[in-house]
Amino acid sequence: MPVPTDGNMPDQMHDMSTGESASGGFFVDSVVRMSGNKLVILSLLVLALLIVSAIFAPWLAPYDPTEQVLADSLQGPGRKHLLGTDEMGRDILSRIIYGARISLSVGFVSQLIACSIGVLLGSLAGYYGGLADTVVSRAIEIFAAFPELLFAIGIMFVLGPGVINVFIALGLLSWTQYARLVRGQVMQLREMEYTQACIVCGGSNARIIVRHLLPNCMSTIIVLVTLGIPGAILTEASLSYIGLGVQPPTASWGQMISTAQQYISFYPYYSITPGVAIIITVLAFNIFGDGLRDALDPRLRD
Amino acid sequence: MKKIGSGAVSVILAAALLFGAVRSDAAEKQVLRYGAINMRSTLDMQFNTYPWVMDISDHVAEPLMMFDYTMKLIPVLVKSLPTPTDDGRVYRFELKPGIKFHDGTTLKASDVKFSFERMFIPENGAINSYIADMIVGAKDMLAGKATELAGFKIIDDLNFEITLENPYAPFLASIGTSYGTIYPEKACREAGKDWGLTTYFGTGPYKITKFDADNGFYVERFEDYHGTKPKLDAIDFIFVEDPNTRRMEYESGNLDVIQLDATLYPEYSKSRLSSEIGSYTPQGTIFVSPNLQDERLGNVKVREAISLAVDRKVLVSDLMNDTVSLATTFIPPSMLGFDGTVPAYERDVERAKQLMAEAGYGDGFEVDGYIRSEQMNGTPGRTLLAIQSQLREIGISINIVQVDAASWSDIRRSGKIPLYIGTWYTDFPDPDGFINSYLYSSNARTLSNNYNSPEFDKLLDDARSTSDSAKREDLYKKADRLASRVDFAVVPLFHENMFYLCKPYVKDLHKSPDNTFHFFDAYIER
Repeated sequence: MPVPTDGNMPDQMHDMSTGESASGGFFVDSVVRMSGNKLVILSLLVLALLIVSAIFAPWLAPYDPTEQVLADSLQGPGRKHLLGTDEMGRDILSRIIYGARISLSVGFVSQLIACSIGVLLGSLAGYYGGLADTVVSRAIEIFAAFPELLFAIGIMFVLGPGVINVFIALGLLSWTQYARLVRGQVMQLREMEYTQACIVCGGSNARIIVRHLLPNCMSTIIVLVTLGIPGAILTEASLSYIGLGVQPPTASWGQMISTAQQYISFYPYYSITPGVAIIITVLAFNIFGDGLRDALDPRLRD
Repeated sequence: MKKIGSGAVSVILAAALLFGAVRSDAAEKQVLRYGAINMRSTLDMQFNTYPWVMDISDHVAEPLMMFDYTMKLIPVLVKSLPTPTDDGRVYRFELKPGIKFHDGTTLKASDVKFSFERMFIPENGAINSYIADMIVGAKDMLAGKATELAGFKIIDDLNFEITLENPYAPFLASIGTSYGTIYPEKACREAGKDWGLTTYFGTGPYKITKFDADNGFYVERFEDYHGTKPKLDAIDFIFVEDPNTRRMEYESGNLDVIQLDATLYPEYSKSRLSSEIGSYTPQGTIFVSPNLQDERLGNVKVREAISLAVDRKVLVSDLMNDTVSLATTFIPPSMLGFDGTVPAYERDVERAKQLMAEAGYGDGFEVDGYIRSEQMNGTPGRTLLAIQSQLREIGISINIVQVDAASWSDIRRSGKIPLYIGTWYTDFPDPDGFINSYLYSSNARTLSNNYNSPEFDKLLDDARSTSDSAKREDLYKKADRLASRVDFAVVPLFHENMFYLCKPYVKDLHKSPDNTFHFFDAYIER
């Protein structure tokens, strides 16, 4: 087999290194396996419903979530307001639907930031080793040494409240998990024969990492993202609860619980509804993440 | 074995008796548990304006005279309230003999002089010096031109004389506030900057026996107190940050007295706790405080537009459930200078939009509205949310910024808060303690309002220097109209009624209309 001079690998080698099989591919197999788990499918449906309602909130919400009708404050559930109204006379259902936007976007965007930082640093540390590994590993240890919520509070104090800053704070908070796992996997994969073959064939370092090592870490990364999202949602709710997250009048589930708690003795439904929304979302992501991990784990194949 | 067994039984019985005795002693002790808020502030009243801190400080340290619960000024450290000389400028005071500070030292005129001078030393940075800066020499000290208060003359250990620049009718009331608290010179000097932070005492009926700035203060009766001994053995000021937790602690019997936010009054008035609700009407006003140094808010047309866009009637009836009264001026009703003839503020959104356009902000603008985090779910927070919604109609978008109490004090003092909901209550029933302390240029600067009108300041200066009550009233009316109706330096909204919950076994809790809780007469009868 001639060694390609432009650094590109032959197709056969590429297929082998990315783990695709002749029967339709690793990911297709995983999806088929996952479809047999009813609980995972249910959680996927719940998540799809949440995402759809977040995207189409302006059409689905019966009222403007910030519209105040003070004369109608603290109304119980009824025909006009299905889940009642809050202390400012705003429709609770509309605020929960719009709150899904915040929770989901915080979940996805923060994990995207964390994933980008973690995968980049983890792969560099794992592949190059030496000084790069030492620097990244120490950084991981330093960042991971802080208690999560306290660290998030500290970052929010520095950056100030607001949804963009929540993205950044949560991104900075959780990149270490990605970096640690990717570093470990890349270190293992670097010693694999196909990686050595690629090096011998003249593949550039960047190409080896991007085309051959990272695709093999993809299942781990996907599972981490899926399980990281509910954590981020809960942390956002905690930050908003203590007034450091999303600022009023933007609807956020954590903030709704914070406000509702003073009425818990008189209007329990007000606290319960955003709480239930958080529980359902976090549970759905966790079940889906677990199912995904099982489906993508080659050791659990039939 | 048997012997050992009976011995053990004897020990247990003895222990039970001993602990029983201790418990019984504890049960007999009259301890009132008050759910307080931690303002993360010094207890030193020359450096804060928080009623929550006054609640603690007033039980521990005293001014020369103070207001009782009927708002009558009574002598405390002095034998009687002095009458000024005919020109209204000189007051001669005589201290009661033998008054002890909590460290056992005796109060002398030099302690009083020290306490006054301390508030005028520029490096100290006292924020309440306005209560006494009419004393001869005070302004020189504040300007760093003098190191001694020329208008304070010690005659002997018990007698001293204070000379004012001009007659100032409410002088005794002014120095009878918590800000005029008298401190022991020696101890205060020794403590330096730690005074109020780790050490704090005075001549008050209670002394601090647990100084825990994070969790609360425990004060016990001072047996050598010079006045009528209080009935309570101790007061436990327990810091409970979260208002909801405070209420739950009250309901589960762990607190005896707590404040209840007016926004929750309708719910509680319908609950089983309705008979435990008390109320009082502080002399104060809730208002929008724009920062006049902000480029946009510095424009009077913008401030008038804000006033026109605010729907005060909705705030009173729907937001506050008619527990408050509509504000027509900054000075509250029942205070000298309140002008009852001034009509209600009108609401005219179209005119407000026109003013915004004339000011060059037809497309509106964004502005940060600051609030202390712990106020977000209370009256100020809900008012800010309502104002945020109402001002959107004229294009003003308020970004709410929540900050903790310590940061709040620092940022506000630096004059950098663009807009906030002001909650201002008088410390003594005179407009000078209300309108002057907020809007006089030197005070407005430290409160992030930055109103600086020579005309307004002159009206207040003139009002200060006359003892003719009718003339003073007229001057304060003019000043108020100028600030709240012409310059719109503040946008008054409503005057509050305040509520608290008090267990039925707490007797004689006389709540005065001022905004502090004094438990001097209270006792527990279960």
